[in-house]
Amino acid sequence: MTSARKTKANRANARASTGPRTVQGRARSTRNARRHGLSLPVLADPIFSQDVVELTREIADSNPSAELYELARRVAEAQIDLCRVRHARFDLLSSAVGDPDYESPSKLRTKANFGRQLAGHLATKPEGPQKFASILSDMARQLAAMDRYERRALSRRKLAMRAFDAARRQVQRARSWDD
Amino acid sequence: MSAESIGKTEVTSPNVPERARRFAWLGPPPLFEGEDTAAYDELLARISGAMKPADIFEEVWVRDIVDLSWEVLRLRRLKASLMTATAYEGLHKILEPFLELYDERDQLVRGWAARHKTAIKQVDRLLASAGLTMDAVMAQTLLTNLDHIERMERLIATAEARRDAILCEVERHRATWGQELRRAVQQAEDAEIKVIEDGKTRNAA
Repeated sequence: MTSARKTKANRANARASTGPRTVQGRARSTRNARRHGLSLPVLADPIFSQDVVELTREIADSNPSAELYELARRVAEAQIDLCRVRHARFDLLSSAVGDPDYESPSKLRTKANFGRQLAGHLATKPEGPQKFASILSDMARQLAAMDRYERRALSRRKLAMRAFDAARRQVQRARSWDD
Repeated sequence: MSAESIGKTEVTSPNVPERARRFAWLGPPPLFEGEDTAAYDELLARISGAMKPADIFEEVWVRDIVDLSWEVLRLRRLKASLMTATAYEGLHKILEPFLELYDERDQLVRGWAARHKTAIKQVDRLLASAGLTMDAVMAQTLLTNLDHIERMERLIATAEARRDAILCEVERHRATWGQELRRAVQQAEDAEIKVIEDGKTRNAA
């Protein structure tokens, strides 16, 4: 059972904990909950929304029916989402690959557990293929999450493309019967 | 009959800079620092030349296939490099029963990794004395890197499966439009025959 004195002290300490104080610290903490932003729909982003509109026009071609336009929009949305996921994955990997000071977090933890004297002998900056292998290992969790987003986007795009093809075929058939 | 006449977007296969401009929304090529842009462009040109994309869907698939193939090639290359770069670790382990003193073993392995002739000869002699070859060293190296290699293999398998799935979609898409094209040609032929038959009937009358 926590004593009344301890509870009082905890509350006083909690009131004093107001988070980061510097501008940079506050800016950083605003992004605490944000990891990759891939769970947000593409249409929530104005730039991606514009890409979706432009790609929809290109897919739908001239004078599409309302149904065909809607199906084209679904393809475009899935495609832009797929591009977004792939770019996020690529950025994650390329920034680590291109970082000359990249240190493996797992090795850094091991290093921290050793005494200062021994720590100097442990290499934490891998080079060449070992570096890439280490990055894949260190980022396995993020990469797996991105892979799930990519798989879903690919599936959505496949179904949307098939639906668009089927609708376009129907339109084409109707036109040929009219002729 | 043109592609446009069966409802498809007329897209010829543009060259690489033209393609980059038209399909800018696909983003830049996924190349890491130091990777060969010319090799990527060549792969893009080769796959595009073989597939001859006929509409925007096929253009998107070409890019997917190129990017996935590039990833597979990159991972295979890195897997081989990883094995080569860490072979000294496997050798270190294999030589344990022959050279019990760590420093002695370490010195020999360092010499072998630096491709010093005397060190290579000594390693070959030690391995041969136990009936071993470099295969044993590579097997030990594989064991040392098994986690990394497995992870790369999984990524390769995923990329290959996605590439195969896209190729199936291309076939499906083309079969659909192939059927439509055949149907349109058949209808055009039927209409032509009907016109000729009507003409014959009128002439006979």
